[in-house]
Amino acid sequence: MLKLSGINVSYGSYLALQDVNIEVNKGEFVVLLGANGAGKSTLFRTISGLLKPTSGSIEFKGHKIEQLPAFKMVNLGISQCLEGRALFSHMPVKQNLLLGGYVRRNDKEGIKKSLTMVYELFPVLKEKENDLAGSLSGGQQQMAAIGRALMSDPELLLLDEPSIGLAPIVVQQVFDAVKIVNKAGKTVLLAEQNAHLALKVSHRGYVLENGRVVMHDRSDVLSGNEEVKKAYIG
Amino acid sequence: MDLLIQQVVNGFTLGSIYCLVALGLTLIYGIMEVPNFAHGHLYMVGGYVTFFMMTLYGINYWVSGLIAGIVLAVLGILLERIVFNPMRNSPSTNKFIAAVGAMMFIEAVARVLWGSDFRSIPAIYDNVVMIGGVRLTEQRLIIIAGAVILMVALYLFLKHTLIGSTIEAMAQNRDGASLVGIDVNRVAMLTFAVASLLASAAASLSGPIFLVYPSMGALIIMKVFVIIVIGGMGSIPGAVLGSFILGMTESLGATYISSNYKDVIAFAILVLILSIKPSGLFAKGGH
Repeated sequence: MLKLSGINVSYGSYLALQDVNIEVNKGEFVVLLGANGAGKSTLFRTISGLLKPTSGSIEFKGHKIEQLPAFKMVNLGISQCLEGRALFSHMPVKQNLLLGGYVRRNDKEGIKKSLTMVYELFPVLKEKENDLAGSLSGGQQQMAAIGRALMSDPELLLLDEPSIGLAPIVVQQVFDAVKIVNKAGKTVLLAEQNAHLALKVSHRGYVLENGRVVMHDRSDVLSGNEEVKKAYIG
Repeated sequence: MDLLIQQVVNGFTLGSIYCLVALGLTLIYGIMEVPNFAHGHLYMVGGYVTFFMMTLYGINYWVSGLIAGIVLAVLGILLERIVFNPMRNSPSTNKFIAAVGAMMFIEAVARVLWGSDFRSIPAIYDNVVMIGGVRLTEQRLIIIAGAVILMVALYLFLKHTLIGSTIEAMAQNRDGASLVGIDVNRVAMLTFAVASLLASAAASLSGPIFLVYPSMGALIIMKVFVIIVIGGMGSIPGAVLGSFILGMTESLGATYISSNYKDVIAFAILVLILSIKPSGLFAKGGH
């Protein structure tokens, strides 16, 4: 479904990503492991069109998308949660969610259904629907960000480090929710430093180091791998 | 006492005009993070379009105002496309210079086309009405009512329509807006159109009382700039409150202190408020 071939991205003379090849198939839950600064966020921002690769191609469902502007990705069916969440913090939670459905604004029924689905997934968002997004706790904000990304009814969901700064119990909740979303048929690509949980819920994993993919395999194989254990599970 | 009430009404009149211009400036600031210095000049052009529609073509006051609003909305979009859009990824200094350049260009064109004379939009509502023993001209009441209606309409547009809320979404988080599929270009054009329309409405409303002349834009932009700094850059409630604070102090100050100091008062307030609250009355959380 998503295929990155030979992606290079540079900031000035600094090569942030080198010859990255990644493939995600329909219905899969793929995790991208990497330490801080390994290039995970750069990779995600490149897929969603916020950054342009210097070379290489990105295909989504057979279409080349590497030169498309970010806002068109949503129409194609790719929805992303940025690290840092990128919520509209001075707007109520509900308005954030409704804006998440911006590209299907004429599909009133569909939006209503997605909203119900998001509220079932994260009941706390229903309780807080009239609160400003900026007033929520970190975990609730992450839920709101994932909820907003789901409102466009995407085929591919990109999640950039949803666990960052969250208490373990909240991370567990968020991951469980993502697992449910994946089971419901959405393809998920998740970036994580926290390999332990991520490898438990995902099907396959890639390991990114210094802008290169150094390993990729099934998740259960990766969690048994000594190097991965040492570097990301501890 | 009557004098006081009259001056308070005048303060509201001035505040209403400032408010319509300040709201547009603050909206544009919110999405571009650079003040559109040419905004006052859009107000000026709005005044001229209204004036010529009425005097050259004999069109009704309200219809003239409406035409001016549409013309200005188009002009605002052109300004965004031609001047600001190409500068989107440039440093702020470049955008500042572009905005100042646009401002000087518009004023120069106005002088060449229409001369430097002061003109007055024909007053059709110059009857005096007595309210509670206070004499007020109808036009002043129309200005206040018109501004209130437009403010309510803007509020409803921004808070209760999805299209309107894309403006605020982009101001609050540009990446977030892109990620939900909002076309940043479209929002920028929409914002300029709405802001220019409000500026034009301010000029159409105030034209029969204040005059229309090429440098009116430069004068009001100074005041309105003070207002959005007082209110907190990019804040809508701040712009409304700041406008009425300034209108009221100017009006009362001109009466009870001296009308010579009318324009100095704006800057005295700026210094006062910023020394107490350096980020403005309604500072937004950092971007």
